[in-house]
Amino acid sequence: MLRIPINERENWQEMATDYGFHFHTMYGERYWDERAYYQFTLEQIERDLEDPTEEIQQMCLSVVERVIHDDEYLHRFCIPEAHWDLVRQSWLNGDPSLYSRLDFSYDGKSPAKLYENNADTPTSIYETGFWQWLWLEDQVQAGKLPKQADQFNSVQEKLIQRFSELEYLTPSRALHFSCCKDTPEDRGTVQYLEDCAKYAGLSTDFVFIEDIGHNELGEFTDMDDAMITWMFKLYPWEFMLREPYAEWLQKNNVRFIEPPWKSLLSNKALLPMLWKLFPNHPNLLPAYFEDELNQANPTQTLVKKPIFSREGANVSIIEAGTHTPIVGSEGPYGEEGFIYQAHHPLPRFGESYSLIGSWLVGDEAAGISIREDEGPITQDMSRFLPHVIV
Amino acid sequence: MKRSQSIQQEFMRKRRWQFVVKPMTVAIAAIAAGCSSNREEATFVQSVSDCVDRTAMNVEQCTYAYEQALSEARRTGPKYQHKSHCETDFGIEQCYQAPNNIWTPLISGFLVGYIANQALNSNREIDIDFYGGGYKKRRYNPVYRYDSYVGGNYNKLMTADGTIIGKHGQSTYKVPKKTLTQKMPSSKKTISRGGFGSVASAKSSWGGGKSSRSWGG
Repeated sequence: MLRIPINERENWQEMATDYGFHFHTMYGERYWDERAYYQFTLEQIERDLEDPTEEIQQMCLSVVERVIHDDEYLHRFCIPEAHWDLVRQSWLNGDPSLYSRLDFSYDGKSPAKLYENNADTPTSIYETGFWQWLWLEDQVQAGKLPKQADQFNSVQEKLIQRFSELEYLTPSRALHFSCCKDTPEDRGTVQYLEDCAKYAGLSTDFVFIEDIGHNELGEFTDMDDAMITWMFKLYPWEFMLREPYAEWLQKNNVRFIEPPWKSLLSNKALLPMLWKLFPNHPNLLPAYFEDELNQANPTQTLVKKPIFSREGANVSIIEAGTHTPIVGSEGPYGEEGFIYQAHHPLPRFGESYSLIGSWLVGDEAAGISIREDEGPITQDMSRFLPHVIV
Repeated sequence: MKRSQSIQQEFMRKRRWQFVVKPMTVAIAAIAAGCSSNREEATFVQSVSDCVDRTAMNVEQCTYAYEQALSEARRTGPKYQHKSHCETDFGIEQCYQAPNNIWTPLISGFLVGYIANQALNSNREIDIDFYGGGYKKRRYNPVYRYDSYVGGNYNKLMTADGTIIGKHGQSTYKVPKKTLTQKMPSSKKTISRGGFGSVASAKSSWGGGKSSRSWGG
């Protein structure tokens, strides 16, 4: 695993405009950064990332199976009691999942360690599935990269295939895509997924989260008063379950992508549960609930993470033994409590810390994305870099 | 190979290519000569045999209509400088090279106006006139089927002048009003909106109100 500088494609900004990739630069800073790329061997990809990704997915599914039947765990996962049935039912019905992203710390040598599972609202899939794919095509064509250069990235192909399967499982419904207003990154992500769904032949529509309504029957409606019966929402379940319309969720014949049971996996409580069920697994870091901290090795530096948190907010690294914070990020999360995970720093390549996102489409590993940050906690100002397999 | 074999790149493009030659305007009303309303009903047929099966015209008349549509297409149809641009709008292998290195889409069929179709039996005079050669006085508009998601016209039918007449699959066309997707119509009016999104809104006020660019992660 190497970080190699390369010249940028001259016209990439213009191409980005053509393809509708509008969030490559945010707040005046680069987000998409093609001044360098990461290089992997096929063995690193297959043995260290692809196989563990599919294995961890299966482990996560056994956590769901365990938690769903245990009220105590549902409490620990901070699922509002009024919605336990919704979550349970979606699992028991077998409501299918579209995608997830597992975040790993991986240095190319030692086993990848799971940081967390973005199972409900993963973003950066456009950059992964399409944009870095296009970068490789262009750089090979331009003779800047060898012809045999490959990439671990069948994301777009698999998404299209998965949408066809989902349509088969959810027949004769139009699929409404949704995200919040004023979120260019989310809007772009949702547009990409809608494009893939259309390519797969699905009938699609769009409505903003804030514009969703309901009629007197309690059916959710879009801006044309048309019924929403199947919905992809880039909006976290932990928010939805605490909002006024949550009461209509169970009275409604509506299917969701991701389904409600995914709220158990996008949840940091997943981490101590995985460690309980699969202790000492090479791809897991020791993790504990707050009241189990006495089980942690007293010489172990820990990372304190809120049960619910996005984009690395409210995460702190705390000292072994004394549990005092050394470094931390701010944010609006943490009211539901915290979990603790053994500190395992991100590898550094040059000035940057890099984090691997490993994508699942359904239960299949589909590709990776790499984000870099100047600090040890990857936040929403991180940069996205492409990769190759040589 | 560990990556997607191929991605239809033109499909991913969001900025639309322009026609190099502006389409000429052809009045849709012309499909129903003698009737000034542009809301006249017309039948979309996909081939000569489809025309024979579904209209009152015979093989000879349908062949004539088809040839007229082709000629109209050559004259006024959409034209592109590059094959890929044309395929972006009309689909892979749906374009051919016309003279002067111009690319133009294949037609999906043509329109047969109401009078040329059903009125024949009810009005003897029109009938005689029509079969006596009157059918040659009518215009048979070529129709193209959009295959592009850009601009919201996917699977819609367009005449040579760029007018969208409706979604593919209708037997007759009156006005272009069909929406793209088959949404479930609700008989009930929406009585409330805005019940989702409040947590995000509360969280985004953290940090001095800088709106988050994402609620994903």
